[in-house]
Amino acid sequence: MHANRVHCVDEVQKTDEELMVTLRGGDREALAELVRRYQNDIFRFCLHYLRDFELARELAQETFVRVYVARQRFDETRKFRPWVLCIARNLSLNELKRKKSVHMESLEEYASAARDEDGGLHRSSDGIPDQELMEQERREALARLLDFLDAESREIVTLRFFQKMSARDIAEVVGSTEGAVRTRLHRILKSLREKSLMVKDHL
Amino acid sequence: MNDREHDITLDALADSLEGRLPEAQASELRDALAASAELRADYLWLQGVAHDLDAIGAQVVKGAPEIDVVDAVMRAVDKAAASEKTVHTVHLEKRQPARPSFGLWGAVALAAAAVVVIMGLMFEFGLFGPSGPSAPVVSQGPDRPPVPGERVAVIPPGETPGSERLDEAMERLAQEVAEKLDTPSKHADRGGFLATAAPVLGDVTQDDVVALRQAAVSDPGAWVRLKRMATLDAATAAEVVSNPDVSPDAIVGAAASLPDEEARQWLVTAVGRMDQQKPYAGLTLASTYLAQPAAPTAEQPAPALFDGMTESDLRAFLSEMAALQEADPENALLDALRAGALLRLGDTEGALAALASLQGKDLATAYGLDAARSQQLALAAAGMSEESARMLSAVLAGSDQYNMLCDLARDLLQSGQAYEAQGDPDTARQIYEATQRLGEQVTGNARLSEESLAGIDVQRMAMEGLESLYADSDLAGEMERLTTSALALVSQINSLGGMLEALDQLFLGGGDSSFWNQLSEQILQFGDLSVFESAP
Repeated sequence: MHANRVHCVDEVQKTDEELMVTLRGGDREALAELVRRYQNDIFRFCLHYLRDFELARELAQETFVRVYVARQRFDETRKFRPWVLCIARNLSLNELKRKKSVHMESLEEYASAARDEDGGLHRSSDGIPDQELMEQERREALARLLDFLDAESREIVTLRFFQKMSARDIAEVVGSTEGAVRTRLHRILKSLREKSLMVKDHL
Repeated sequence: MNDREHDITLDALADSLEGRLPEAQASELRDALAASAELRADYLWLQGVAHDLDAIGAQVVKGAPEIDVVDAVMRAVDKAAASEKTVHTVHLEKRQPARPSFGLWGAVALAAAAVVVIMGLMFEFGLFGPSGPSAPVVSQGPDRPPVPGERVAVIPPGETPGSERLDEAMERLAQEVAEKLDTPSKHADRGGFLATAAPVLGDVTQDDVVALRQAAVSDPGAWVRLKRMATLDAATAAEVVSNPDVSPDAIVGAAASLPDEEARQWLVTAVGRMDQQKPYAGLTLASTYLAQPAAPTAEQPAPALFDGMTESDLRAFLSEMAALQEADPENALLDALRAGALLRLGDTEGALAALASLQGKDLATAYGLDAARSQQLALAAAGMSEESARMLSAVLAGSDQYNMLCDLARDLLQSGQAYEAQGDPDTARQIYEATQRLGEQVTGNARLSEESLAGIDVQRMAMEGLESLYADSDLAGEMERLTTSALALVSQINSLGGMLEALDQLFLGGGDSSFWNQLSEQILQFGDLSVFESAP
């Protein structure tokens, strides 16, 4: 039925929020346009929580179904992106809660993955780790520190640095205030800074 | 960071790295970087961290394919649209009994006799509020004396309520409503009647009111005419409130017909003149901030209480609620109203706290009897005869409160649905459960059949939300509890249905002026659920 769905010129030109108003008025093609705009964004967002391609794809799809169901409650004076990310976040957190046994790779594993893909350690001819190796080790150390953060702090870091979201948008997604997010982020970074200094001293 | 050489926060540094910092702050940062070695070290560290985090983040999504779920989403949405569940009011209504052919006192005696049975059931199932139990009871088969013609849900011996599947119980509930109580609703017209001509109040006789009430047994349109008869136009209401001799209660009754701003001024005056604090007046004052219900649409077939309110109106409403709760701290309805407004403002935490407070209380009332008495006084002050005003207010008692309670429940449940849709079933569940509890509290405290009807309707709406939520979450214990509640509600519907039928028969039986005076007085004093306690 939708296989040959064509992009409607009018809808392509509309803002996200205008599309939501159109959707509320009963035009489901507005939703199709929103899906096209955000599906990969949402997919990658869910992937940061779930670290499972298939689950993330399913939840990305479910997120847009929820957008449709909740369309009447969307406040068009607010931004669509944080709202839809909030839905995706809640679905992801629920999925994690529901499938407690789901294996989630640690960030450290991801930090190590890059090195493994390159075929092992990079060493200079005199056997001293080169610049790239030092970077890898620093990255692994950072990933270890992130893995030790509590879930909420790790989420803030993920949204801020992986998703490149502003403090204001993070606040909307996690249901907090911009000030609280900024304070939290400062504390997290400060703690990471202190711990990284301690690790460096220890080494 | 007061112990440091600068007061630049690390999150501001992160903003700066991404070019998000406004120019004024960026300039300040450049100066601070030039002046502080510590800040420079922080900056360099954060630059490295941001770079590393970029790399780690990229690794998480590395190899992730581009997805295209447009068609899949649209197919799912087509399905969702086809079976879209909208929260709706059940519109419990009376059956249409055949007009009895026996004489006046025979009819009353018959009604009273039927009520002897009904009363027993109502006490048993908690339909009589303040003195009855707040939690409904499900009866077990043979332990209960059989009642001829009665269709109360009876659970077979040895079978526990929870052993019946929830979906079967809900189906049974829907069936009971459809079979016994589902007739065109007298609540369907929500203001449309105002388009019709207002009667001359002084010409309305008690017989006119009784005749319409009798016609309403089989004609929902008669309820609309009664409602029109009881609604003052704005000019008449203005005359009533500005009459220095009129009582503060009459002002409260007339204020509903005034424009909101004017109503507020008069209500504040009336409250100031009252000898004692009357929460009903406070609720009327708060209600002036509610918007008029919008005309029904396919998307929104029934109104939700806070539809169309601005943020400032919601805040003003909450402020009135705060004052009202001081006057009536035990009324759970006020918690529910506060929660609904807070949900509309996006304050989930505050709303859930209000709903938790609701859960800890035993009763909820929308002050239906107080409202009816105020309406009686306002109608009389506007020129209607005392006996007509009393009769009219008595037969309509609780109908506005029915609408308000159902609109509130719909509002709460729609918020719950939104949380559910956004993947937050925990919040949705708390909202649904509190709404169900509100219905129980309303029914448990009801003195008017309309209040009891509202309580049942609210419970039914909340149960529909809970049914799918529990099923999705596979919560066996909760499903069992809900099954029990659904069966108990079936019993309540049976009991209330019988009571409403007896009331219809009482009106259909006719009577003289003295009889109607006595009946209307009784209803306005104690509620229509009490009339058979001392039937004339």
